[in-house]
Amino acid sequence: MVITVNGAKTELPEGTSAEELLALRRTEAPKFVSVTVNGSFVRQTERASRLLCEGDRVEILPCYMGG
Amino acid sequence: MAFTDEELERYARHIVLREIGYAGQKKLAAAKVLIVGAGGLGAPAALYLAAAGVGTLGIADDDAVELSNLQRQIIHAAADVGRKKVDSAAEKLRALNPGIEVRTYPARLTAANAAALIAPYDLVLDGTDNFAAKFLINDACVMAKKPYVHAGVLRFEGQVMTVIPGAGPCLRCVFGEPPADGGGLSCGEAGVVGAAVGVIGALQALEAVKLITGAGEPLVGRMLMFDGLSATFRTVELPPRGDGCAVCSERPTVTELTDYALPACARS
Repeated sequence: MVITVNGAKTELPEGTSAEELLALRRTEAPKFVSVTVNGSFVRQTERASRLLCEGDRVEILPCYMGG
Repeated sequence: MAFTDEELERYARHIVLREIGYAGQKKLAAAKVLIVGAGGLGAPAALYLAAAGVGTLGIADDDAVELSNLQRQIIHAAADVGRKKVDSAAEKLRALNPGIEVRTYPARLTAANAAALIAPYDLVLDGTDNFAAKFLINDACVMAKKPYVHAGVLRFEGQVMTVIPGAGPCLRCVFGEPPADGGGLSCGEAGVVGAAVGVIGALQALEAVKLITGAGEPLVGRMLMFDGLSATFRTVELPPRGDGCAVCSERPTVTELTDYALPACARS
């Protein structure tokens, strides 16, 4: 299936969860992030059960700590 | 009271702007802004707001100036190493604009002092360097119904969002709970470029000027993301306010301020 992650089309296996998508990107992404799917916030505790579907628009937004 | 001739000259480039004008400059003069953190974000933000003629500026920080701060915290100078950051910052702000009042708080923001610290101010800028402080500012501002400007930086990147309680999402609407493990790399561990944090601090000051004068559209419901390496900005639409949010929903579960016991961050 093809979904959009931060504006870029991304190919993923069917049934990939939000948690698994985060794990795939973990090496490049900061640890503390916000996940929204089609504009709705996905809680940390719901990421494993939130399965992604063809055409979903996912935003992975890091929270930067530094000041 | 009308502006003096000297003030009219000092603020001439604001007064000529259709979006600010004389009336907007009077609003800036009457405004009270609290900047929490006199570091990489607070330094440029405070300088720009003092220059802009914000009538009362509060600066809260419990740190002393260190040599490693000077690579980016441009309000402090070599001779200030070892001084309290609030004293060093206040001296520069008063020198830049003797017509404003600068108040200093040489204290760390805590659950015990946050509400009282914020109360006299119209607007708060988050220039802190750890998630515990960022969530504390969010919760205190939501509870006090004070607008504030969130910001954070890392390496060559940064982000800015304006929170107007009741009008748009807050930090918890976007990120949920504070991270239990401290949440990531501090600038001390990962590094940060002075000019990149300067961009973000300047954007916070710009948001403050807009909120005070009513100019333009504040970054409410949007997160502005800056990537200095690719020289790009991206605006991310945020989830709507209050949808189950622990602090700003109609039935909040967080109703008191808490000092989050996150691991200590490397001081930046």
